[in-house]
Amino acid sequence: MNAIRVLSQPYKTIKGIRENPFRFYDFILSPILLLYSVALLAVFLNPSKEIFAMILLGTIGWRALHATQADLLTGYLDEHWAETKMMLFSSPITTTEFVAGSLLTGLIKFVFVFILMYAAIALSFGVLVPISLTVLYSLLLLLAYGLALGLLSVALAYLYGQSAFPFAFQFSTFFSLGSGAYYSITIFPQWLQDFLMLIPSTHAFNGLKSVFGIAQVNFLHATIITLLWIIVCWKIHGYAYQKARQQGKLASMGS
Amino acid sequence: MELAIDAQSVSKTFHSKKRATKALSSVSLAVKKGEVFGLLGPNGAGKTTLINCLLGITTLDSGSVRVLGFDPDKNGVQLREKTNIVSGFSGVLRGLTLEQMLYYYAMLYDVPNRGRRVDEVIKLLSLEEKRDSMVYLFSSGFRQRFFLAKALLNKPKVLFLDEPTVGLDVDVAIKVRSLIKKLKKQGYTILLTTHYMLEADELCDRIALINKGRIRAQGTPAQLKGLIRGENVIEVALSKPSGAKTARAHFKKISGVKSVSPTGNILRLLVKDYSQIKGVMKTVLAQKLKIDSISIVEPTLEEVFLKLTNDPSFGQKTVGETNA
Ligand SMILES: Nc1ncnc2c1ncn2[C@@H]1O[C@H](COP(=O)(O)OP(=O)(O)O)[C@@H](O)[C@H]1O
Ligand SMILES: [Mg+2]
Repeated sequence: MNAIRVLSQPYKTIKGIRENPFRFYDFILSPILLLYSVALLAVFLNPSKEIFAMILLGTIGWRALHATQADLLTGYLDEHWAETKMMLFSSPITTTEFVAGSLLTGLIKFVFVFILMYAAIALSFGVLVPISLTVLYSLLLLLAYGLALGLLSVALAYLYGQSAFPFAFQFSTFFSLGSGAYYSITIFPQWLQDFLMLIPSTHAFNGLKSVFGIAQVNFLHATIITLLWIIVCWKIHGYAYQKARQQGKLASMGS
Repeated sequence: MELAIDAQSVSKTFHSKKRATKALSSVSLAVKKGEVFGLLGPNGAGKTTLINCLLGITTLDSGSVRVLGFDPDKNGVQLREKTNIVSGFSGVLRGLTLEQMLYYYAMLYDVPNRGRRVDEVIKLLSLEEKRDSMVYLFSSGFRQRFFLAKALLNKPKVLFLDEPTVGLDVDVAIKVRSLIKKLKKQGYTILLTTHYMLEADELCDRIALINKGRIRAQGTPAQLKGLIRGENVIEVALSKPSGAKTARAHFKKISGVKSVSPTGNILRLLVKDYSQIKGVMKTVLAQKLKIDSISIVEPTLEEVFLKLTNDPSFGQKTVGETNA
């Protein structure tokens, strides 16, 4: 792996962010909108202090999952939309370097978003979100699961281009909501709860909630399941890349 | 001598739900180091597909390719480190200035002394005034110069130019061509695709004519034109159309002139070879014919192309020396 080629991806995104309305919205506005829409509803419902803090931490967790997933996808789609795929894939960058670069972009952006959201929560609601090892590890798991979903999204984008976008982009929302970002999954029937335990984000959100005594987490299970997802999604990504090469889709213009 | 590009019997078919498109059928070509090789053919001929196969962006169904001795499937990274491409159809990323954009591509190629090299290519293409402007807002001329600057960043050993003048204004296209000539003088190995006959004729040392995924003929421009020799034409433009009849009778008597056909004041002489021009001039002087000009009409690559592609019995023709 070549470090400079990896760094090319955060360079491209971060230098260009001011001139790219979509990226800018996704980076700054959308997390803030998410935070306030959820938090204000929570204020209205007047929950306990713990539940309120849990909900706020849930919004941060959601953004962690979104950060890595979305940046993997948009790192590719930016090139697809601009019709520059030919220039990207004729360069020596490997798919591993490309993925690592997009992942790094997502991580850098998440650090900013985290500080932004943390400050907004502290200033607007007087709540200091706890930063413990449990919280940090849970966030890490969400970032890692975002990588898995990102690989899946890019795999779809390689093969279906533009048409994969609306679907792939909602992955993180779907899984955040499904796996209990702001609530306890105990509200679901048992069979669904059992199924949800196969999804890494359920464990990670449980980790965040465990800080407030609302759920329990087994980090060993959580880690194993997350790694399995990453491995499987990496294989699917590699398969889709080869398929796209066969079909001439890495160079083709348009969708 | 080691070849820069060596493609042997490359075939590629694209399958979609509705149909299969045979983009390349058993294409072989060899490009020597330092050569400008042209791939000339109409839209959909398979030119871009061949370049994609050479760079490993698209896989082959069968056959083999080597670029600088590298197999794109096994040594794709090394191959792409030492090559670069300008594509007449690509777009540009949003949001980066010229300097940033070149820096981005310099990172992708891990070019040593990136900052300095970026300055060099900006200067080389006289893009100084655009250094801090957004590339996606460039006019087509500046955009094309950016593409060329990007393609020179890593000092490629093989440069692919995929229709580098397509859609450009005439004056911009002329500038791009003169730049390609400059690169040729500097010893760059270039594979140029185009559907403009004149461009191929002007720039290339050797040309392969490609149509419907098949190479129809290969050779130097002169050799290819030689394929339709036997139809050498000398045109005599008379000052007045009224003299056409007598002039025609005189020209017909010259041995080696096969036929003379008049259109207005122009007489078109089909000759055995161009040495007949002496006889034509002697006749003009002896008969005191009033003329404006005498000219040799060279066949164009276009005529070669039409002849080859209209003739279904025409197999692959190779003229002159090849390395295939
Ligand atoms: N990715 C693809 N999927 C399906 N068909 C393709 C693809 N790329 C090219 N083709 C088809 O292959 C043929 C050759 O295309 P191309 O190599 O782009 O020609 P050229 O560059 O000479 O214009 C065309 O019929 C084109 O439609
Ligand atoms: Mg083409």
